[in-house]
Amino acid sequence: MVGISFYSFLKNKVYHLTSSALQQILFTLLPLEVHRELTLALLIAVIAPLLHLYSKGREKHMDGIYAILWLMHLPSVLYYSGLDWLEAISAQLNFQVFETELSFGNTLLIGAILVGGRILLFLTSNIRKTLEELQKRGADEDDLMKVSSGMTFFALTIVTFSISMALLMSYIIPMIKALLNPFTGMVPYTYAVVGTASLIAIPVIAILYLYSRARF
Amino acid sequence: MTNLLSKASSKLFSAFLTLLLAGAFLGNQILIYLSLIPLLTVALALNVNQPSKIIVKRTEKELSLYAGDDAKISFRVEIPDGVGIVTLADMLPSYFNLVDGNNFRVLWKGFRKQSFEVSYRINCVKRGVYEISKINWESIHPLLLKQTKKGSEEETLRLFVRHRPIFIKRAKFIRTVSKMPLPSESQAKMGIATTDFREIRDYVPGDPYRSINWKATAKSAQSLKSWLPKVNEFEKEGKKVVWVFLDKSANMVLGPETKNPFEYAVQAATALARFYLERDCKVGLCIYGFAGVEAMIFPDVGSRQYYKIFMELIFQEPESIKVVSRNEVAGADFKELQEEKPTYLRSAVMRCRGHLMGANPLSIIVTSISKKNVEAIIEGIKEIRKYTSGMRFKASQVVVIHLMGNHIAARDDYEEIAADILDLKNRQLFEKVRRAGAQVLFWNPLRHSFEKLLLTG
Repeated sequence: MVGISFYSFLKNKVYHLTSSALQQILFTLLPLEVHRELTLALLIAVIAPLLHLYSKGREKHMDGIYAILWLMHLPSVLYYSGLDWLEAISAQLNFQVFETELSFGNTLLIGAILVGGRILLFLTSNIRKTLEELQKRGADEDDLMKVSSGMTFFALTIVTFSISMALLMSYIIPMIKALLNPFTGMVPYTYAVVGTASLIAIPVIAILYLYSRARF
Repeated sequence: MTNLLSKASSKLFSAFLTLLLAGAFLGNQILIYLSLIPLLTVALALNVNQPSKIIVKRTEKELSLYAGDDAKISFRVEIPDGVGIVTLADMLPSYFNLVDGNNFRVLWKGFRKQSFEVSYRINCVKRGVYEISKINWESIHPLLLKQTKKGSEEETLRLFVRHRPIFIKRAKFIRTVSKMPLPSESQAKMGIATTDFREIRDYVPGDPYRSINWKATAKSAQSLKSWLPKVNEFEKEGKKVVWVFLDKSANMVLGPETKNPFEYAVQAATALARFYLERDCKVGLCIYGFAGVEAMIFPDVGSRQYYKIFMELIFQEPESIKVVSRNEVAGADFKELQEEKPTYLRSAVMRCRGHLMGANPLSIIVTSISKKNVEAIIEGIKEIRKYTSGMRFKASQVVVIHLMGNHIAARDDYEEIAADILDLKNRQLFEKVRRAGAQVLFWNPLRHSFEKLLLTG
């Protein structure tokens, strides 16, 4: 995941701007011309120990790692935003500064891997806590091994399935949209927004209601 | 809601909302698609239920074992539905040690219907009747997104833990001369009634109701001679009567709870009952303490009598030691505190006198002689001898089995030596008991077997 986040960052215009700025700073401070790849090495040199420190640290540090990974991937995601709030507030910058060489599909795929990985990490950490608690209560090692592999496999299956479904929807929805375009084009924008919001809200509320009523 | 869904599901749901709102705010399709991942994860995981029904069946309903032996406890678990973790805890009573396996098991239940065989080995160190009844279970969601379900299954297993029986053989060699009366076939004035009529007498507690002569009772009542029912007395087949008096007073508690003089006294009483019953004697049991008679089984013969005695003994616990506070000592007469009911054995004997009279029984007192109870024992022996007076010059009809409590409680060689010194100090007490007309047998169960004690005295 660290690799794909870096890849996403390297393909982004932000990286090019950062490395140029770094080149400029190095040239001003030490009058020597630095090759562009060296700036990459410098970036790695700064971030790698940080990541190493985090990975060696406690579980809560993983949130920090994910925040860094997301920060590296976020410019590429923002580039595909429909509403440019920077332009809307008449700022000098706009989202074009986050221009990426990655396609929409690849950006989505990297994002899906990051989100899926984070969920998996969250679930496995919960599993580990449960197993530790069971061990303290006197459970056998063999039993815990079986439970651990069963739970991890289950979590992996669910998360993989969720990622696949989300990616599948990202391919299906534009196709449906293209088919429905002649009809939806006539619908006023306000109605479309309210309708979409309702379509999302109704199942969510229904799910919440049903689970709150469910007997355990 | 918070009670039903776990913290984990709330976190995933909030991740979905954050990504969705961010996507909507920025008009970013990628974020909206990404928001579907936590939502789908929660939705899919919540559709999978943890096991709700756990069927537990024990392989055995009753187990009988000897104290110190291992026993295998096993049960079968069937989980028909759900996916997740199932924990099972078989609650063990006190005095049980886990030898092999585990009474707390954690099982993974997949998508298929599954059944598991759970077994473990335990060791019980103290006699008694125990019940292992509840098997507590927990059902945990595979991704911990739902609250854990808890329940218990009532499957009772009764464990009869008894002392290993002592089988006493008859003396085979001349050298082995027993001081203890060991009848090969005991003859006595009392025994199983024959069909030969002897006399009509007053009813005494313990007489079977069928022996009541109603006509004689009615006549006696009419003539105002006696209000007691009259019973038919038949000639006896000639069984010797043996009375076992078991001391359960606090004197018998010395050393650990599982290995103290009382535990060995119970073992001795069981062995004596078995030995005499096997030789067609009538055996009676009287369990007494400071509080008086705790339990009494009237003399009878046969295996049913042995079972009655065995069941009575298995539940017996010694009296707890009375702790006298400083205020009590200050307020009470010190002499009174020192002499704690010195006649309690005598009163126990008097309770049995209806069955001692005319039976010329062999009386065996299983106790631990000490300064505290020696007077009570002597009083008791004197009372017993009233019913065996005709046998004064023959072998003693009163036997006191003295459990060497100090030796039982000794933990090392130094304490053994200290116990020997204490025994020497108590020699005059044993002499006193002997002079009262009883034969004293010393038993240190850690050194000698009970069988050897009875055969050689």
